[in-house]
Amino acid sequence: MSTGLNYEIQMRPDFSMLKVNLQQGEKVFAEPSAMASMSPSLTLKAGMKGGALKSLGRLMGGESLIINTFTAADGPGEVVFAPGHLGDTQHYRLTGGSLMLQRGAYMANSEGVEVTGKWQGAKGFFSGEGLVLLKASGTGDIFFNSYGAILEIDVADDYIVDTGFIVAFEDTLQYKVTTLPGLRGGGFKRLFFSGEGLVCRFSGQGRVWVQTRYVSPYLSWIHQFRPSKKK
Amino acid sequence: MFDSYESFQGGVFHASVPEGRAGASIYLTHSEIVAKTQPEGEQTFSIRLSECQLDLGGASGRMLFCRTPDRSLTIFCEEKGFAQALHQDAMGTLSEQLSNLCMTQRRSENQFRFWVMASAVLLVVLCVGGYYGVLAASRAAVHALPISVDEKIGTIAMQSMDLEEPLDEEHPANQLVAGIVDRLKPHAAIREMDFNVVVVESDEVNAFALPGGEIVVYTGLIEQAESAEQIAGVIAHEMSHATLRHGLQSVSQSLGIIAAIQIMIGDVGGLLALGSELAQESILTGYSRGAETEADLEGARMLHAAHIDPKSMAEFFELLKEQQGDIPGVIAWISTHPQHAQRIENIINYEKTLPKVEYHLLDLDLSAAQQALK
Repeated sequence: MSTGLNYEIQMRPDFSMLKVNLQQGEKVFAEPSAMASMSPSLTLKAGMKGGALKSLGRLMGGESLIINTFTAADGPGEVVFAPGHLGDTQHYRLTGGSLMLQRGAYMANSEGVEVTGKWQGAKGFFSGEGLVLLKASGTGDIFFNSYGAILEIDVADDYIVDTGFIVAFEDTLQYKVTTLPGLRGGGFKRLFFSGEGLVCRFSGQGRVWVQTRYVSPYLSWIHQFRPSKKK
Repeated sequence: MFDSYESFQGGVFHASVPEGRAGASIYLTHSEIVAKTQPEGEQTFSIRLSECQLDLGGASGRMLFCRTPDRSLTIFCEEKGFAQALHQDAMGTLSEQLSNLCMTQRRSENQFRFWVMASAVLLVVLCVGGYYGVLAASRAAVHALPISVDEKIGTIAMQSMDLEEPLDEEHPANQLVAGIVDRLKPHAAIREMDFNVVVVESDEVNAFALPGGEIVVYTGLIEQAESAEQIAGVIAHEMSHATLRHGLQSVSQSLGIIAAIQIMIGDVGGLLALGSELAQESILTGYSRGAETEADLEGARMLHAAHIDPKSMAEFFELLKEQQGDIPGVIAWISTHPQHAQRIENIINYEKTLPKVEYHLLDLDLSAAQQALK
């Protein structure tokens, strides 16, 4: 087993880029269109990784069916990946466990890691963040990105995160979609007027990665400055 | 040294491993749970079964956590056989904790199943209710539209149908049908509707109405009829489709359902194109069974009001039923008008509920029309 990819995350946190240095024969997998620059010694192959079902799972998790494989076929080289939106990139080393990723958070991974969708059922439905989370498992490196910077939080017992801010969490954490404790029993009025929607309550031991910005409030803030179409 | 024991994939939480967490291979000896961190087996941790505390959790809800009493060390595993193996190897020391966990898990799974079932039932109710709601709403909407809409659709449909060889207006067959329509017209549910009849030369025993009052009768129908009243029965039925505005209703229902689907799943252009095609087809291929029954009864009412025996309509169905095998053309009208035994009964029963009036035979010459067609 390899000791992991030689990588470097630059320009953190807002305009982060991931640079991976590959030795001869080494591979790295990434989502389509993430590649910004690379050495000519690398070759690219596109394909559905892990079979049709796993690919479909990824599709449901807001990712592409296709995953690009970069191989250092003609000698060592480097490849630079950039996320689609501004924000940070985070590395996580998988050691046999799994990491749950928010919709669309996946960026790249090394050999030995498998990425697929995980059906969340009612939990996913009520969180408003999609029915399917991405699940990365195996042994190796995984890179994911956020909107805004990333905050790493060690959960020891219970912790609450607004569903829109979750980027990733370890599989040792149990999670429940719920309303904020103070709002419960206060009826719908408090739920709607507080501006706080549904939250994720994590319990157990493990780490959660939280992004410092949430896309949809940003969009509604920006929306008021858009010129409106006159009829 | 643990190679003889069954191994499971899992992990450990401990302050001494990098980042506090590491993947591990887990072995069960008869007195301890042992975890060797991966990949090189750098560190080994163990928890004595007698002081182990168990907990369920994780993203899947099925991960088993084994902790020391001071919670400084946790060994966790999600593999299926782990709890079973723990139960056997612990020789009863952990049985109570395991069965407690089992019970809470089962309870939450049952709860989950209940909610899934409840949501499924709710979804079905919403879909079915929505479907009938759309139907009812479109029906109401159609009656609010002016008749000129029916007429426009009827004219367009008529033009697009490309009818072969319509008979001359002076032809006795045309005179016959026009005479019947004149007799029925004052009793139509919509007075201002302008009925227009076209007789088309064809062996098919068929007749249909388009929205707005365009009525097409095939000569095959006139040739096979035994009396002018039977033809009047079919024409009353077709006129009723027009006055009850079934054509517009089937269009609006198809469109209404498509609109509802669009609202639910977003704008789908292809679906709309398919929908309008379906709607066009539904006018031409026939109405729903409910619409047919409605047209039967409304036709019978018109016949009764015009002092023509509504039983003649039933007679014609009877005739078609008997001749079905002999004349290939008969199948055309039958195929869009199913289950006529039931319909004959309905018409006869309905006629009995109407006030008694004296029925007159039509003052029209069927045999002359039939002669002219030969």
